[in-house]
Amino acid sequence: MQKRKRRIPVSGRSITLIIIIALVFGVISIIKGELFYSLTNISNVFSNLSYDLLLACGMTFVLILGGIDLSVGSVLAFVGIVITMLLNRGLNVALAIVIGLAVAVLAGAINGVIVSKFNVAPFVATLAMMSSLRGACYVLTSGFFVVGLPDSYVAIGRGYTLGIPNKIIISIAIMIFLGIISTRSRVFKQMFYVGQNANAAYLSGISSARTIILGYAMCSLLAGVAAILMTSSFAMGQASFGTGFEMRAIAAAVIGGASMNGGEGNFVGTALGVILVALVNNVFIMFNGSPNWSTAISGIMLLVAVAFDLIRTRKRGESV
Amino acid sequence: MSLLEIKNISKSFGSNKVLSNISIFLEKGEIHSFIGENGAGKSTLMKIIGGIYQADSGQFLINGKEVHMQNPMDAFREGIGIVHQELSVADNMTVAQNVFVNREPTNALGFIKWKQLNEDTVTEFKKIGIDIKPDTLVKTLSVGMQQVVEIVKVLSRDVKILILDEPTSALSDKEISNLFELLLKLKESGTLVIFISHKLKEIKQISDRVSVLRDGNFIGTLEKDEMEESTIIRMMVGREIDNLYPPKAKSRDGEIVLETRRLTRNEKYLDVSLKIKKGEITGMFGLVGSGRTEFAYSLFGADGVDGGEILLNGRPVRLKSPKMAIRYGIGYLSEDRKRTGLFVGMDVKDNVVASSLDFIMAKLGFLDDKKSEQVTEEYIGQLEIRPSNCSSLTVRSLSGGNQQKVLLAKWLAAKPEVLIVDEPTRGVDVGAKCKIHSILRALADSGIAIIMISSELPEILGLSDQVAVMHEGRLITVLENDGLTEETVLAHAFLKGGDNQ
Repeated sequence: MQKRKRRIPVSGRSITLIIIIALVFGVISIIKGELFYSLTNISNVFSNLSYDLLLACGMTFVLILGGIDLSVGSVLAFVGIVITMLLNRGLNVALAIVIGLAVAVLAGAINGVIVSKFNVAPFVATLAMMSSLRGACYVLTSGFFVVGLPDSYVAIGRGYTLGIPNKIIISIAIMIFLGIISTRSRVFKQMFYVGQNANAAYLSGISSARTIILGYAMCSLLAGVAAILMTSSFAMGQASFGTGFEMRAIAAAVIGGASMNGGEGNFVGTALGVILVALVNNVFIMFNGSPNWSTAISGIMLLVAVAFDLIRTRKRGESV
Repeated sequence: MSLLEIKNISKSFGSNKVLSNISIFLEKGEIHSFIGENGAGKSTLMKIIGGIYQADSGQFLINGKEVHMQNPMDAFREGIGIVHQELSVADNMTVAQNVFVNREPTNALGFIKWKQLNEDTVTEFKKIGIDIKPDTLVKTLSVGMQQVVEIVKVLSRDVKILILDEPTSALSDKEISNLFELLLKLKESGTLVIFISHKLKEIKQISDRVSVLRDGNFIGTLEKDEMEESTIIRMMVGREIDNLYPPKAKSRDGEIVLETRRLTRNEKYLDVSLKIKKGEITGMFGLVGSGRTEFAYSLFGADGVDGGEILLNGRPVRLKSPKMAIRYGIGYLSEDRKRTGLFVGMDVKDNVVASSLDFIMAKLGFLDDKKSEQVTEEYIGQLEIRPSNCSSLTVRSLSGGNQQKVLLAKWLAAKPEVLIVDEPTRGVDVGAKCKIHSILRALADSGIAIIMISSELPEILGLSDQVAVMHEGRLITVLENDGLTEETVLAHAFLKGGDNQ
């Protein structure tokens, strides 16, 4: 019997992605030289990565389940507003964070319940959540920034530990945690079963509703963590935070190997997808000189990634 | 000269020969029925006549002239129309829109001429003596009337040959008699009506002649005065019962592990009381729609019950979900392996352990990878799943027979006390079939109670220790299998069932 290495789920696609990322990096470095290669630019590319990474990993859960979550950007903004408003009113930092994350989990659980118990299409359920929470943000803040945050909170996003930005430490810690659960956790495995074939999963004794609720809750929880990182590094809460982030998250996860049809996805691939999306974004901005391109680029990348995914699964479908 | 002459038609799907050398003459103005067991080739033959499939060899002659049909449109052009078993009406559109779908009369600008559309529809219905409002929404009609809309849709294309594939399965008695009146009218006007049904009584009542198919062969055609039910049954099942099946249970005095008392699910099955014993295989025979799968769903917690009770080892249980049923030691191998059984995009190992994740847990909610590997290898060996190193191959890449074995392995791994298998050998080759049969018997010998649902009578008789016959939601009878014959079981399923209607 041959031994199998299954500890780290690195797919063929991940290797392809690493090669593409290296190529883009190399070619642009040669063409643009200092401008691209400069520490300022590189850290620019990676600065927003931690938020995207968290959201895209959350999205990976939901995509594996065969769903989609359009509300992650709004959850990020809403949780950010909740936490900063509580802090602004003098609440203890730890308590504010716990409450904020609880709100995030609740929002995700509501998405999950609506999808699994009421059979509402994930697209519709989370679109409604997206709009409701974004609206709530504007109602709560009347459009003003929420400032006046304690230094200990701001230090989360701006501080360094052992010379490494806290943001990166937290993101990497979460990635490692996700990496561990993704290898052997039963609940995570059950998400694949549900995403692959919900009927068969049910008839195999897997509680699909519970699994789906958990997946959406996890997705929102990660958006909540991103909210903490973002509000603390900007030292403010803002109703427009996270606008359009869902698009990049979906694009990154799908590029990383998650399928719109469910049952597929892995965090290593998603992380590479996040890097690729950020890189391509940066390249376009550099060539055009305008960051206004960013949203359009994310949209185009999402379209391309999804189209490839559909072609791939359709081809496979025929060979069944 | 016959209206339709079928000459030496053969058809294979892969290596599976579905029709061999079928030759039949069908006449103008007759109602000609086809009967045969599931898999006998009736539907395939009809689909070939309707241009949906193409025959591998043989000819069709219409009025003595050879015709070639590459698709359903060609068949329509030759005057052949099929009404399929499943209704295909668009139920939120009107009757007129359904009848003339895609052929609506239009003006020069491409707009539909509604008035003419409705008038034409009325005319078409008048031809068969039915008054109908053409602008009625189809969903407001009864199922029987929807069936009539389908028939008119086909007839409005000047059909000389009308094929009806089990048109009565969804109809009430009154709707059936209306349909039959219509068929007689069509017959008088010279149409050839080809009628497929599982109900012997109906066939006797309506047909001028009946042709019997068995295992893809044409067995014979009976004239009206030769249509004895016993004759038809004998022709349908006349094959030799081979000795491919494993021996029966050594004794039939195991304890009762599962019992249902007057179990009822509204609209699905009624008053089913059945005792399942350890070490035995209970064969459950009935046609699709007889309530057998629905009954199994209730036993497995996948559907509720409206009345009666389920006793497990003598104690009443309420099974709220499959998860709970699995904990109680009940397994259910579903009939449609791709849709409700397997995770075809996942590997064999993931599929094998899907129902027994609880048993292969290490700590803190983590799965024991080594153990699942070990379990998988064990069943790959025991069930001879090929290729033998398939543990990390996707199930999609395996052959049908091996996929079915993976599905069975999934349930063996869950170590059930009662295992319900629904069509366990559907669509698998002979070798895999034999293997699955011997595994089921070995499981029973090891003390498991097995309920085997099958519409293949030889399989039921070859494998079961007791045979439960279901028909239209009722358990007609439970027979001990001491040299039971197909005729006896069929007589219960068709004749008694028919009388109950």
